[in-house]
Amino acid sequence: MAKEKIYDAIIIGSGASGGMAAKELTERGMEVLVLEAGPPVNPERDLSTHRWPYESMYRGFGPPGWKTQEQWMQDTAGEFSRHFYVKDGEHPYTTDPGKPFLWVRARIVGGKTLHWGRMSYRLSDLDFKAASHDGFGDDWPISYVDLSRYYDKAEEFIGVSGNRDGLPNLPDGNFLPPMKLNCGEQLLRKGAEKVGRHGIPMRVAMLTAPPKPWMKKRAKCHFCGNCGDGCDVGAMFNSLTSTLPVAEATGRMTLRPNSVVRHITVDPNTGKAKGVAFVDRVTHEEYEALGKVIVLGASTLESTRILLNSKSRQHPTGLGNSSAVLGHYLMDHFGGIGASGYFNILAGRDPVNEDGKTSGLLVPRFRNISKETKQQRFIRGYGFECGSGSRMYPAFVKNAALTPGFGSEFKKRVRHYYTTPVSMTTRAEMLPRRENYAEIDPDGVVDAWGIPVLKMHVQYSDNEREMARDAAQASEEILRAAGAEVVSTGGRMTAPGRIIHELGTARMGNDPKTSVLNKFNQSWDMKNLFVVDGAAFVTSANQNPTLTILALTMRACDYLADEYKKGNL
Amino acid sequence: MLFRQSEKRASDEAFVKLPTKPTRLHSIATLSRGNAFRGSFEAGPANYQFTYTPAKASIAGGRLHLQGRVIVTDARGQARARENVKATLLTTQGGIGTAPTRPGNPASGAPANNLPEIESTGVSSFTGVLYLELEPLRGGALGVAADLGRVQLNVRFAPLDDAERALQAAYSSVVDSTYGKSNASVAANAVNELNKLLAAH
Repeated sequence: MAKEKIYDAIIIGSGASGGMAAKELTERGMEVLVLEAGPPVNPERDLSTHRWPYESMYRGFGPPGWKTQEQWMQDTAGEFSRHFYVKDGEHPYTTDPGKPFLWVRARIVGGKTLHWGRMSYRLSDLDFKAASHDGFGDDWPISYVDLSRYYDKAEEFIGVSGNRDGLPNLPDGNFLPPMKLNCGEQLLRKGAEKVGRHGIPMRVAMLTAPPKPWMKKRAKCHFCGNCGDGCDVGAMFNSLTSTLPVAEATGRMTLRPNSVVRHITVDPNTGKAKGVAFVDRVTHEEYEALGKVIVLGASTLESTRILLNSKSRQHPTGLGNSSAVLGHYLMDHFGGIGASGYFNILAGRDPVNEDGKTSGLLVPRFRNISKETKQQRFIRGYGFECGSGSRMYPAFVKNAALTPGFGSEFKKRVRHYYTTPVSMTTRAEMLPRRENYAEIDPDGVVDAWGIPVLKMHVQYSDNEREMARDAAQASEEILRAAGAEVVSTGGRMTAPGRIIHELGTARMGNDPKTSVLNKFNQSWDMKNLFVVDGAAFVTSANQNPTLTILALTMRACDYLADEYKKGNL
Repeated sequence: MLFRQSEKRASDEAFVKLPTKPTRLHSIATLSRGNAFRGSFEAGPANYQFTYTPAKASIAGGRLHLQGRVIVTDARGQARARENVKATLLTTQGGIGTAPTRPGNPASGAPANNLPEIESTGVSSFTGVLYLELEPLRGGALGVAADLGRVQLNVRFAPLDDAERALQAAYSSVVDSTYGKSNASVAANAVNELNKLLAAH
């Protein structure tokens, strides 16, 4: 008798979308296997929330050269969080000369939820139906009304702090109390309002109130400010504290870490997906897991990579790619443009640990949101993420490094201006264009397990660059209106990928000829195959995508579980 | 309550066991140091140090080819070498960050007037990683119990001095000159510069 188990569903990835899929499907009674490429997490060892820089001989900077030599694309990795991220030498990807792409990847149970920025905003119909507004590209196959109750559910489950601001292009949700603005952020908000913009507390997936009963043993945020090093009290949403424990408690989840997926296997008789071929990251032993439904939540580009690598005679260009769209319409937000300076009015005050609050001020999109704000040089829009106040070493070093002088006068000057910095940086929409795409590297480059890697082809268009020019001017205007001494404006646009909001490449749509997935994240070509992460996005909007990914996952799983029960998959 | 993986592990009996290929080394990650590429790899339980030192560069079929010396050193310090090993450039990864100083990049056009620049593009673009394929090697001859029939060499540039920066610039120029509709004389000049630097060490 065969010992192999056939799971109701195999989920690839344990991050935001994979973890949420595990929770949703196990709660609906399905036996689920979660395959995670990275190692397991030992919270005591791996989460450094309360580690001080002075506890490390490297004072938080890490051993000399580690970043440029081993993890050169892992932009947000720090000394205490570097083990969340891949080693670039084992995980190649390629680009053409002059078209760089910065790909940040976490491979560990929980994925990027261990270190993400926690910003959680809803998209509106300005985003879902952007093409109807401005004529570019395609609309999503869903509207805000289709997703709003899933936004409600996602926010309620993970806990999002924020204010009900009444902005139509940034729908309100069900929020925990907002994190208060500090002095500099309040000055900046006044400056924004002076020039006709809004300034709102950032909406972040952090508990600012006592946890609800379903937030088992999570704790209210105590403002230690080290979210990016892994939150060991569950104050921020991550898979370890939120979704995976709930799935585990059902008794219907099996999670296998160190499972690097090669491809999805297909039953040639039925034409349906039947399992997942994977290699153990450590032992290099090869396995196939069997499942009736396959759910990809490996993160945008990894999910698409798996589909492209799943080609066969029946699927010569990759699984689910009859449209020839798989890999295309790759997007990321761009940043790097903004303004910074000092609020001299705040100089000389007593410093407080303002960096314990890892939230700030958002200036939401104000361009192309109405007839009155329509722009001639670009379509769509951008917002500003803004922050002010004192920061703990080693971030503090940047301000001191820019301060002239030496000796006791230098120290006095640093202390005097320590409380004054303010900065604004853009988060801007990138248009979805077919010519921005990822493919399997045609020159045969492989990773450390022999799995073919991706080649990225991404360039900004003039729309993004015109938007960037406008953002540079708009940020300076706000900063000056706020009364800041402006020391730096403009900047360079970040290389594609740096914002870590890669989206698209397996987009959903109403037409199987122009999309990979239907409106329920289900493959048009293979009804028991779903993609629930950012790959499904049709447009990038300018809002951070994770909340929408969670809502889409919940919606897709509702549909999937119903269809499974009816025997339709 | 934090999810603790260490207490929960799937039994692999639940999965179909597939044929596992004999120990095959897919890639070696190296750093460009001096004019050599230095790294290490594991084959089974054993660790090895690896060095590839290109002595000569050429272009054929639109690709960069290197010829040089391979040295593999085992954990006991015993080194085995093989001369005149060929490595062919498969492709590259664009660098992001501080570009090495070199003449304008022919691969990208200049930015449009007055529009913001994009980091590491245009004249500030450069090569961050080379992906090369080594000619088939006999593991046994190098004291390695692994299949070295198709080993990819990943070469990361992280220069520590001006000489290493100059080498990165030279490799970047060669890569740019062979990309797309390459210009044979530009490529030849770029390779000549690279060979001068390789000979200088």
